[in-house]
Amino acid sequence: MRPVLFSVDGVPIYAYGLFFLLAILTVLGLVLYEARRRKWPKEEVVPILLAAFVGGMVCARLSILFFNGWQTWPEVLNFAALFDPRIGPGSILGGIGGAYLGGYIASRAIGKDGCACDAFAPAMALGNAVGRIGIFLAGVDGLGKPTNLPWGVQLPGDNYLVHPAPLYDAAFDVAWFCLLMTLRNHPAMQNGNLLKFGVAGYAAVRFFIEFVRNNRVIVVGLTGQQLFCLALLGGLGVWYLLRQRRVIATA
Amino acid sequence: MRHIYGGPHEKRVDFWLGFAGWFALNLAAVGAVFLVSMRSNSGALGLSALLVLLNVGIPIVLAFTRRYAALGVLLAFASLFALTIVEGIFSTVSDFVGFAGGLAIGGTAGGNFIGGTLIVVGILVLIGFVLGAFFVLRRISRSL
Repeated sequence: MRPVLFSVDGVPIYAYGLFFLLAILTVLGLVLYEARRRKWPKEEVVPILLAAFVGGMVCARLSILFFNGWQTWPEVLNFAALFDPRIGPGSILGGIGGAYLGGYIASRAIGKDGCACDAFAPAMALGNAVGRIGIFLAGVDGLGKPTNLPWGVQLPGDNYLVHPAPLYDAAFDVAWFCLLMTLRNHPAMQNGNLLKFGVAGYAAVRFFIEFVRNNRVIVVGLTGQQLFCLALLGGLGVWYLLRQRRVIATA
Repeated sequence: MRHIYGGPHEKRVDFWLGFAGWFALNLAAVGAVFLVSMRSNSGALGLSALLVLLNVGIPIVLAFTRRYAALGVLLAFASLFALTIVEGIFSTVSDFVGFAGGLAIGGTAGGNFIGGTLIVVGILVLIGFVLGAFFVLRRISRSL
């Protein structure tokens, strides 16, 4: 673990903060690259990107109310604390949900035909992988549950090994990024389908990774993050069934 | 009701009103929360929660009524978030760390260390950020 990556004249450079910044820049760079490749006008890209960023940042914090419990509301619903750099952003799952909502609302507001969100799918996967490295180096939430597996890691001050859960997440994200980049031009993966596929894949894998993490269990042995993933997968399943029914009815 | 813009000047006025208005109104609101907190902590918490909800709701309403004002609000919101993330390099140690009331989750707050060098670095970051934001804002405003 290396929560402080290095110091510059006594000023600590935190792994979590630095990798979070790199993750945001990765997402921004890839979305702009993808927007240019798809020849989207900047009048559409700028508001959608801004809304997704703000929506993601706000919902990452608000989702803590669900994941960590209502007792956190004085801090979560503190407006000034949204901009306190000492407090981390919150949950990536809430961030993904908020970015999706923000981007969707902006798309509707500017009257964009189709969905601009496919550009976000590979970017979010790679950005998440980068961010997870910072989470691993910071040893967030004790990384994972105790394990005897050979790749278990030891946290400072502990005498047992734990699952390096953020690295499982990062490894999947890199593989998922490669797959999404391969599928991005596929005719069936346009108009929002690539993002839905990307989010569904992440939710499915995250559901299982949660079993080796230390997050708060809410009900029937499942964490808030797992319940969120199940709700997301259920919602996408309903959407897919309704779409199939519409296609059959049209045919 | 969606507002129909007459020309680029009106769009720019709305954009700058949204951008500057967001900072001005939130600064006043945060000041009000501070004043209320001296008399009633629960009142201040409630007011702050209301402020969060208003900051979510108002840009959404503006997006469907006066979209260039909404764009200004979003840019103001995003620029402050961006500054927070950049400052986080020097102070963010974990996912979500409560800073008061003993609700620390996942670690301890790292921002307790504030030395002279850190203040200088913070000022330099702020100056660089303001300069960068100025050019971004100018470019967006001219493209409206």
